[in-house]
Amino acid sequence: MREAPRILIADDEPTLRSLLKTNLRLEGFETLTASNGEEALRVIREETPDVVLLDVMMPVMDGWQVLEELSKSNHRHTKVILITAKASTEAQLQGWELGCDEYLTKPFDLDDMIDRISEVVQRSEMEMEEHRTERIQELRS
Amino acid sequence: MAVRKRVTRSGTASDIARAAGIRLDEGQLTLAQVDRRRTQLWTISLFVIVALMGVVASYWLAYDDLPEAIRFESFSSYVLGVLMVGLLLTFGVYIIDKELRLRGVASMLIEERILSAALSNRLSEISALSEVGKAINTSLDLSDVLNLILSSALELLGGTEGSIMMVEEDGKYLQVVCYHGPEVETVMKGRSEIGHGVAGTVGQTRQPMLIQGDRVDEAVGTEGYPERGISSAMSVPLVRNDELLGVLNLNETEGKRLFGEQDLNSLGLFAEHAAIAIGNASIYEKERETVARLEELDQLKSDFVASVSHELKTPLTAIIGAAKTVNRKGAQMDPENHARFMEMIERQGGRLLRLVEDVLTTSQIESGRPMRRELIDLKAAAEIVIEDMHHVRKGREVRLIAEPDKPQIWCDLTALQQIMTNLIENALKYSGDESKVIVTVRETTEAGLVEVADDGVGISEEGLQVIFDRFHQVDSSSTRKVGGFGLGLFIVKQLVDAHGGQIDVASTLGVGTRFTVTFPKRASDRGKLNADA
Repeated sequence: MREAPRILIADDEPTLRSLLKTNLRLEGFETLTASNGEEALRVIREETPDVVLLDVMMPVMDGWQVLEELSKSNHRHTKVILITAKASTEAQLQGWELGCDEYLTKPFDLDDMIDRISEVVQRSEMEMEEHRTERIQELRS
Repeated sequence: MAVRKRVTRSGTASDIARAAGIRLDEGQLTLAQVDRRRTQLWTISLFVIVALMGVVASYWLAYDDLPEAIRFESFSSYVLGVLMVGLLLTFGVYIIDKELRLRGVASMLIEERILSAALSNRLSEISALSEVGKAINTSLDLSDVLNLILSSALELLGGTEGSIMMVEEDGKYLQVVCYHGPEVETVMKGRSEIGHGVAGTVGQTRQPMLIQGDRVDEAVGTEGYPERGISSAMSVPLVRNDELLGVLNLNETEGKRLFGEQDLNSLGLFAEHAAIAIGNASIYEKERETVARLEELDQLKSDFVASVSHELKTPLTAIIGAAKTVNRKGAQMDPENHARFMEMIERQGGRLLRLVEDVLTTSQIESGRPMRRELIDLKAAAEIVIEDMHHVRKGREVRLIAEPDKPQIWCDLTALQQIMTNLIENALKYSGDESKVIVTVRETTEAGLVEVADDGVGISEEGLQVIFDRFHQVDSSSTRKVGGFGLGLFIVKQLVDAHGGQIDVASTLGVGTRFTVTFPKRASDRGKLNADA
């Protein structure tokens, strides 16, 4: 693993991109940005970031589509944290089932987000899978 | 009808027979009994005549041997003559009277039979009608009910075509809503004014109408009946709770059947059932429509809540995040970044405020806030609005054109500013960073105009149908480019309406959109404007 984890911020809202970028940089992460789903996929292919902070409602290609495309590609192990205003159980289930590794609803706490990123970065593939299954079961009950 | 009246007046055949001294074994008199009586009568008469002739013959044959006292010569011819004629007359009168009475009874019995046959026919008709009445009341689907009514009426009473006309909402016209027959094309959806034509007259008077044979030409409003081959027709009103729902018509076009009074009575009876069924079905239909509308509204509301929460969360996330960042890590940040975050807070706060204002304005419009009209310089107002929007514009140019230099109009300033803001914001949102937005304000002798044009993405045909609806966004998918509540244009439309104005939109996909708001000058406004000028 590289010294500083590389984080891709995929959000169509420039304000949020800039807010996240500044904060992550201050925390010592390396950052990349994308303003829609298509761009996000291209950056993932070209730059192989460690974690993607992915918004759902984006033009051209939404977050769900990015997750689907990702699961079919050889970048399926890229860790994805969904950051969305969609807070309903259905939306969360959809996210986890499409293979996200963490689900954050807006408005989120910046410190909490940074903790989650660190956790996700350190978790192994197997721990990820366990965590995902656990969350899905929780949401279904 | 006529037969029945005579019978009730003179009692039954049995009563007459009793009065005539005919003894009856049972209460009921039959034609056979009357025949037996007549045979008896004539047998007795024959016997009496034969017996008399026998007596006369033997008297005559044995005349010479008879004692002197009973011989013919010993009576005066006068006495004898009177006696014989009297006897014969009495007998004759008795026989003839009996015969006449019996004949009367017999004909009465025959009439009674015909009548009872007619009655039983009618009874079966009524029971069939009431069966159908029940059947048509089992369905609540209006079109099912109408079709069932028509097919049942035609089956029960004959006729080659039938139609049901319903009163239109304005209560002035009847419209054909259901037709069974050969001329669907011409008859269906046909209308007739209440008070005119056959159906219209029936609708107005609420009296059934029977048209038969020669009367086809004479009866009210039967123009066109002979041409359509209608030789006999019936029209009855459909009335429920004293309210006219429509008219039921049956026509005969092949000359096979001639409707009579009794058919009209039956149809009238049937129409009572039919009206109840139609009434129930319409009420049900209305209820169903109301429920569907409420459900749709409910869906819109929940979509709105979802949209509101999403739209509020984005600026909130930015504000909280930026404030927190500056607060905790301000020391580590360079001054440029620091300023950027402060501006972010300001801008997102403004965005939040506009969203909240939109929601507030909507509720104010809904509660009917009165417009405070004042004389406004359109150009000055537009300049202020464009200046205030610098955060939204982000440096993009909004060109302002005024014709003449100082166009003026009487309107509510707050409303005007909101109209301009929403239109300009939309134009900026839906066009590229490079494109230009042109605002034109104009004053003519008739009106004040505000035009906002962009060369952005444009609006599709379907989109144009709904852009002024509340909570609506042309693209509400999760890949939509532009956020918002979908309240902006709804608010604009409501505010323009409140001024008695008009909003027009012209748009071509990929070319651009132009909104034109027209505030009409009222006669009084013109006076004031002229006085000012």
